[in-house]
Amino acid sequence: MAAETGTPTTLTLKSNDDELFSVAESAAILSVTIRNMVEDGCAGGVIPLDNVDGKTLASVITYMNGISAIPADEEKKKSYRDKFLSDKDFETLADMVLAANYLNMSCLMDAVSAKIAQVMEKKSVGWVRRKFGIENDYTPEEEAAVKEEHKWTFEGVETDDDN
Amino acid sequence: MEVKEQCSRNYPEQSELSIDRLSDLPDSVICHILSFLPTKFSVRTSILSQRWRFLWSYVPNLYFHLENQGIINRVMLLRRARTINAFHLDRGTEWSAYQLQTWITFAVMRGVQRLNLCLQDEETFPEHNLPVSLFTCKTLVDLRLRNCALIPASGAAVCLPRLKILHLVYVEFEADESLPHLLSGCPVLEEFEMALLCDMVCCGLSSPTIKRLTLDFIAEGFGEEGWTEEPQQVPRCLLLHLRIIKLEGIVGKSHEFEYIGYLLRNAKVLERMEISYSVSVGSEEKIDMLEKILRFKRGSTACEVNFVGSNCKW
Repeated sequence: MAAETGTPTTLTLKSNDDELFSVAESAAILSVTIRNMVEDGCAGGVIPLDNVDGKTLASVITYMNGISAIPADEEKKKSYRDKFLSDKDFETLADMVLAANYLNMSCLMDAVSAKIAQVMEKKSVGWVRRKFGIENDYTPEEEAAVKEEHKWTFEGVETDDDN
Repeated sequence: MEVKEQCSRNYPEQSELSIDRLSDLPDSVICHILSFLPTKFSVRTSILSQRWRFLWSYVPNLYFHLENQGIINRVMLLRRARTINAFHLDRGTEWSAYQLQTWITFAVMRGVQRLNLCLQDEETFPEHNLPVSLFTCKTLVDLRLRNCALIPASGAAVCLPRLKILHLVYVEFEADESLPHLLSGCPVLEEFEMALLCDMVCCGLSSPTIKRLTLDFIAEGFGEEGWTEEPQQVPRCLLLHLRIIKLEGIVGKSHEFEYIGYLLRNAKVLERMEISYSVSVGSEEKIDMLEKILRFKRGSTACEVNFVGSNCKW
């Protein structure tokens, strides 16, 4: 890794709402997207991250710094990730999963996806449609047919409550 | 459209932004999120909308819990993804040895990386073989078997070049050399967990690469006679590589102290030993055990001994 030789390098990241952030290169290259830019020599000035807003980027950088400070102990990393995500609401998790996907950060992507899945599992079809902005474009007949096709998955489940 | 507008009005601006962006999530990201859910739930999302109808069928992981064989077979046949990353059968799954062999073969043929068979069926335990293809699976990274396997003797080919995590709990070994033979085919193994069988520790557990070891003492009656004599040669993994050892279900019997003492004395690079008591242990017994264990000589001065649940570190 580049960070292991010479003095620590700092990168400047710019969010899509023009906030600037300084972050150690050794932490920032957890993002494969950023690592590729560094390796291609495109990280000299400001790195624009067009798909991430300032609030989300600040959070991602907190994560980058926190996780890269932990030595190679997967259990400690996991407990850091759990704690980091424990107080995040669904909207923040949604923003984080998009940012992690764009930044190509597999460890954050997995942790946030697992957390979103955990929230979804306890919720009704109506709740998931609302939170994911899903328009129900089935006709009532089509919906009934899909439900019949996979009826084993609906046993004991109420599909149209609000919880 | 009506549904979306109606709902959006109830949410503040920030949420609306997130929702709009979430509805644009690429299919690959949705499948990734669904891959963390039990298969029953991911199939259920087909009801959400036309776009979601078949997304479940591209999810790379299969996770069955309390399902019957007909349902599992149906899902396997209807899915469209070419590969399986993870295949997980949880307790309560209805199964037979014949079906299990078919599912494992199916998963191996589709490049399975994580296979977790956590089953419970005392009537059929444990007299059946796993398909031989499992033990030469080139893609397998994480293999966890519970209550459902007979590990073959040294005649069978074992080659698991990518296997890093191996858990064997309540499995049977065809012969004494079954475990060393299996481990010899795992050149990059890092984590190993097993329910303790006494003779396995001294003659079987040796791997040059293991860093994390968990021994489960819950199996009543196993290994209680302890060692007649300690192994002559200390396994290389203990001397050179083991960093974390976890011991579960400790009740304070003398054979347990024998193993704990041996491990602490010989693990030269150990960073942490975690000991969790069986729930049946009272608080006075815990203190006695603790004092006894803390007096053991440690081969690694950096080693920390944690008693899980008591939050104490020494």
